[in-house]
Amino acid sequence: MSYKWPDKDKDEILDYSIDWSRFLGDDTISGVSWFVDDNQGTKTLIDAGEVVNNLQMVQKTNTLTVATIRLSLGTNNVRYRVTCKITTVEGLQYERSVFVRVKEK
Amino acid sequence: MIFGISPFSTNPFSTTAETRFVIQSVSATGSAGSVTVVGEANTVLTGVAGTGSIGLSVVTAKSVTLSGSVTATGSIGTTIVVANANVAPSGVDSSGIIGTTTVLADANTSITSPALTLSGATGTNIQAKAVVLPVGVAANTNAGILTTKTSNVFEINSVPLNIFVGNFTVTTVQFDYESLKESFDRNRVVFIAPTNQGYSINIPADPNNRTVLIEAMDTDRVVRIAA
Repeated sequence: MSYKWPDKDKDEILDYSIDWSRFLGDDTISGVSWFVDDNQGTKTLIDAGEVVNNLQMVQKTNTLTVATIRLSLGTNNVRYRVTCKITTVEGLQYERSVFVRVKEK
Repeated sequence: MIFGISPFSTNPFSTTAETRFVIQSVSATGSAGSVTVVGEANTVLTGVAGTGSIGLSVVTAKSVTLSGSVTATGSIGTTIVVANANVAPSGVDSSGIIGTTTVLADANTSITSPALTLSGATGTNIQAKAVVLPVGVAANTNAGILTTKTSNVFEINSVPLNIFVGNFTVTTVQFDYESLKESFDRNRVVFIAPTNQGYSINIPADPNNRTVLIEAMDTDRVVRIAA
């Protein structure tokens, strides 16, 4: 199953989140990593301020159950695959991918 | 040394006489060819003078401490006069009469009245600099090509503007209704509706929920081995 975020204008800076609360149950998030597929389709680790395939990650935040990425830039009419990988307090790691399209609004 | 013959003897004799003088002044004068005179004084000087009458003449005079006066004069040929004073000079004068003349004068302290006068020749450069406010600066040239650049800023209290010459011409274009009134037909009239003067667009609140909810796992990932 693939997830999808609402579209983003290339000039917008928006927060996109993944709510893991129902998935984790009693477990909680201890660390979060984000990845963006580059123009070759390779999953690439991205950190604050970095740009992959013209999509920029401004910052990342998380609570015990929600991971949030702030995105900027992007290329019009390109659908990006953003992957969130979390590590839980219990030492488990999960990751899910979400698609977001950059489109002129 | 003196050589001679004594009337009281047939043998020649010789003697030696020497006189030493204290030199009170130093002077150099060249009347032909190239003449270079350089005089430097690190203490108080009462007066320094250098004169070259023919050919190339270079006169350099420097005074580190207070000097009464410095004068340099070249009458013929190319003449360069350089005078530097690091303290308040009482008076600095330089004059070039014929040929290409360059006069440079710098004063780092207040000068009451420096004056530069040039009486002839073409291609003359005059530079005068005063670091502090001079009381009066004057430059006069009587012949040749002179380029003067002067910038003055004056405070203007009022601006009058009067125009008395010329006539006003007004040109107008009038719609020629008389020539068109017969061909007017209401059925061919197009009405232009007024445009919407409201240029503001209301942006509604963002209805998008940009949070993806990950549902709980519906598989337990446990493989049970049957007996």
